[in-house]
Amino acid sequence: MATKLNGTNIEYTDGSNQFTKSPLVKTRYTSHPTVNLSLPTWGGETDVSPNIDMGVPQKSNNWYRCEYYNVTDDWPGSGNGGMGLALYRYTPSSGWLRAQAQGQHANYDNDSGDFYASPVGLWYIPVHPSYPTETHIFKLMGTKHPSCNIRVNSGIGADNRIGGWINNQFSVTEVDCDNVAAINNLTTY
Amino acid sequence: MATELRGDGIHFGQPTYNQNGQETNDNTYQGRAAAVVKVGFGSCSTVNQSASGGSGTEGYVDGSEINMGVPKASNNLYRVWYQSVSDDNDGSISGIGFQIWRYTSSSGWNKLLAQGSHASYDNNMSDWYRTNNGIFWVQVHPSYPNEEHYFRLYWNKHNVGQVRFNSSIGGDQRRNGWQNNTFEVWEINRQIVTTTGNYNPNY
Repeated sequence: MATKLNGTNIEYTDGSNQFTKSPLVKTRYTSHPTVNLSLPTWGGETDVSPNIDMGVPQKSNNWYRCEYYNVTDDWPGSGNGGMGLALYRYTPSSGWLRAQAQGQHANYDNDSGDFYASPVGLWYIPVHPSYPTETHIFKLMGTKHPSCNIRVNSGIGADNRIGGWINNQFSVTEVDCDNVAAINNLTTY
Repeated sequence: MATELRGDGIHFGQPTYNQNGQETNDNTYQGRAAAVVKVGFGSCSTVNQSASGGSGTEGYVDGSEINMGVPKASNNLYRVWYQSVSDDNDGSISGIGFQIWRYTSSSGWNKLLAQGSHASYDNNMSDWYRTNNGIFWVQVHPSYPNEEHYFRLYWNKHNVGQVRFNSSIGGDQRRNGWQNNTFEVWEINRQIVTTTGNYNPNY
């Protein structure tokens, strides 16, 4: 069977049918290369991901779905400690914007001895409303609070870090917003 | 090259991207339907929403309702993803978990999947924060596939300590409606999901 155009859909050779265009335009992903990266105390931030260059968005009303996963440790375990990541957006004309941030201790324990966690973050970030025809770049930065050591991208016994994966992941997906069902409570910036 | 309909699929007239994010011109075509049919997303609206009350108390996560419309096929799936940041506000024994609910006009609201009352929890370890998340795959209502489908998040808590979620935290950046949480629902073409293992979301 050949691929067919029907009245309301495209019918592919495997029998699958598509009634609308794909909401997902493009996905790119990476992993920060430094194992056991230390975070600075709040007041400063450090890069926790390489830049992801998403190119020029397909349309000005699209959004970017940004997601991270990490493994953290308050080594050597003494003192109160927490961390949080921030999502940054860049275009050449706007420069870098600290678009959204979880805060300095979104993941925190109160002097509970040695303590590990696998924090996550999910954001939908709009195409820059003034510069939709420019390349869009994204990255993560991290900070900690208050002062005990925090490492991310943790090297842990029995881990298996291959292919450039360093116990962390950062991905960005451009979402076509002609076909979204709802955008609850969020506005562009 | 113009976009062409060929026997093996649609060949596009512009660069597309392979799974590694590389632009490719040659031999790049779509040979089966897209996995994702429709996307809904947003941020639940109340910063520092309180999960108060005794053990087992549950409540609606403000501003989480998403109308996904009428599904494109009766056996399609919905992939639900949420993320928040919680804090045991008074430092005592407490935890929280989240639930996904579905609505159609004939079925009303149904609780589908729930993480439990303390999917993140600490045992009186004083001040304690967590990034909560969950991924749920649920299905089009088997009896009402032609009706609009709505989804909501609910919370449940244990024990009696105070928990807040969608937390405001020093150094956070909450702009344009984002309140330290994200909630998304994707309708998925069941024809493209080749296996669900021993998981049968037929409810």
